[in-house]
Amino acid sequence: MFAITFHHLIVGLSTGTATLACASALGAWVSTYFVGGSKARGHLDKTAYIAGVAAIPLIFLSVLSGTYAMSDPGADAMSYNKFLFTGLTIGFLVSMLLGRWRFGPAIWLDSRLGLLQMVCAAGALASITVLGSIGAKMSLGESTLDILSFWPSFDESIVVNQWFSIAMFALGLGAMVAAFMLGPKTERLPE
Amino acid sequence: MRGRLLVLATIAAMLLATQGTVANPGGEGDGNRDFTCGGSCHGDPGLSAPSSATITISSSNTAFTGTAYQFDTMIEIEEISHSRLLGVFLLSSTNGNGDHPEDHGWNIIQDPSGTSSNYVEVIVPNSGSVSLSWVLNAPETTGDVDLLVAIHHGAGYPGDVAYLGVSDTHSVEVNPVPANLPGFAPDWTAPYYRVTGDTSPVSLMTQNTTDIVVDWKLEGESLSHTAIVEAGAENEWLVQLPATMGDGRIVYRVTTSNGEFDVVQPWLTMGTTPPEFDGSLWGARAQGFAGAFMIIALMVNLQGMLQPARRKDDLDQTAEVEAADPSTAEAVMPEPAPAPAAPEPTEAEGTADEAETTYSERLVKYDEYPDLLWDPVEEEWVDDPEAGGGQ
Repeated sequence: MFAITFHHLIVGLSTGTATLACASALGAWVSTYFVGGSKARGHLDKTAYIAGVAAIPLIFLSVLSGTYAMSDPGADAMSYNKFLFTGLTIGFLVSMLLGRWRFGPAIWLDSRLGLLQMVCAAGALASITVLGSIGAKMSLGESTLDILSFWPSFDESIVVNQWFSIAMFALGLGAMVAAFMLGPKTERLPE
Repeated sequence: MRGRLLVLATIAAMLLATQGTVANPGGEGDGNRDFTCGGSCHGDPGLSAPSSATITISSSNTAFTGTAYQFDTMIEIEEISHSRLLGVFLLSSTNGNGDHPEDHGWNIIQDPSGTSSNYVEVIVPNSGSVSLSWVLNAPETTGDVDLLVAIHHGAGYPGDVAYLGVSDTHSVEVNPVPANLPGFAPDWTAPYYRVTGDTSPVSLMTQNTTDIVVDWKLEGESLSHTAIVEAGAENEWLVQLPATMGDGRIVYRVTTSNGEFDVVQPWLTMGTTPPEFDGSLWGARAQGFAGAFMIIALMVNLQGMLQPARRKDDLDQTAEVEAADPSTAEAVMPEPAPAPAAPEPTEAEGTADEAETTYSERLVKYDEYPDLLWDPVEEEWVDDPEAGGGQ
């Protein structure tokens, strides 16, 4: 019972914080197209960075509390999809934070890196939206986004064999380590 | 005085803000329920009104104890709510408790929705007429048993009352089973769904039966087909019905025989459900993390590829020199000649060129590398502008 209440609390925090991070990042990217947007960009960049850093542990807490709130998590398509989309959210959000950490606040001024940051923010925001929609369907039976004709019901999922999932996990981990160890060296962009 | 008026106005506003009761306009779902009680919206005389619907029952008035009995009713209704939702009860009394047919010895094998409830909710088609059938096992005791149909629904405009209708009592005379009459086992309930694509046989339990014939057809079809039947355990029959997909519903009818009697049972319906989900918690976790790692790997690589080129590195030729002759570059590095004293800058030259001049003067030329100069401060080789490098 406590897990359900805690999940409701922490989901609100994590969703709000992550949405703030993504929306601020998108705002920082848009500000580069406006003359005199540097001051706003500075604020939005800091907000996105801080909120993104705060969202990561909150998302993990949401997953944990959600897991304990269900009697059989992962055994139905909707909860399974929540795990998959949580992975996508964390992937996009961490990528956005890594970009900001490696290249500094001037990353938005570089056209290609700024665009990549925007893609990460948009991906994370889309994944969070899907997560919220699935959560609403699980708890309320409906989602506001159902009014969209193309919005899927998320009652089906792509399930692969558990050993294949573990192999994908190892492959993903290896790819990430290789990207850091063997990828091009980066340096902070001058402000 | 003003305070009292304020309190009264607040209370009045709160009372006016409350909504009128609208019961459950979306229905309550199928289930096992007694007749609408007097305290409910549909049962309270102050909140309800008699329905104008016509309820007709067209079933036999005789049944044999413990054998299947089909109860058919047709409801014609003109005035109904916008949702056209109609709740229909199959009852044995209208007392408000103990009304369920099972309280009077009946056993519901199948209701119109395919489950085994005495209350179902249906959407009335535009024709205003709906036909429903329940398949029951008759009570084990002989005598007259009543069955009746009750309905409730709403109307099409706000503020309207809830409507309630009750059919005439349909009396069924339950007679003793003729000796050795074949039929379904009293405790058997028809399966009301199968998993999509499931081809496993359907199990039927009978009594006093030596042979059965099963006809099946898809719901809505007119032609029926004969199914293959195998004998299972004692009084059990395994019927091979084709697999159904999607929302497909199959209806089948069993004829039970024992050489003395051939009894044609009512049509039974079986729907289709999607297959069970075979995901697991650890599989979901592994897949979720795999997705996160792969996205991070992709984005980190893209960040490295898309970063702006570093101009300082482009000028630095140290690596090339060392690669060409590392022993010369590192081990046998000649001592640079003392740099000539820098002339004092004059005020006319200003400070703009001072840094560049200082930088140029500290560069040392070696005959071994005619196109390059050695920077002793940064300890790197750079192109000699006078030799054409770096242009």
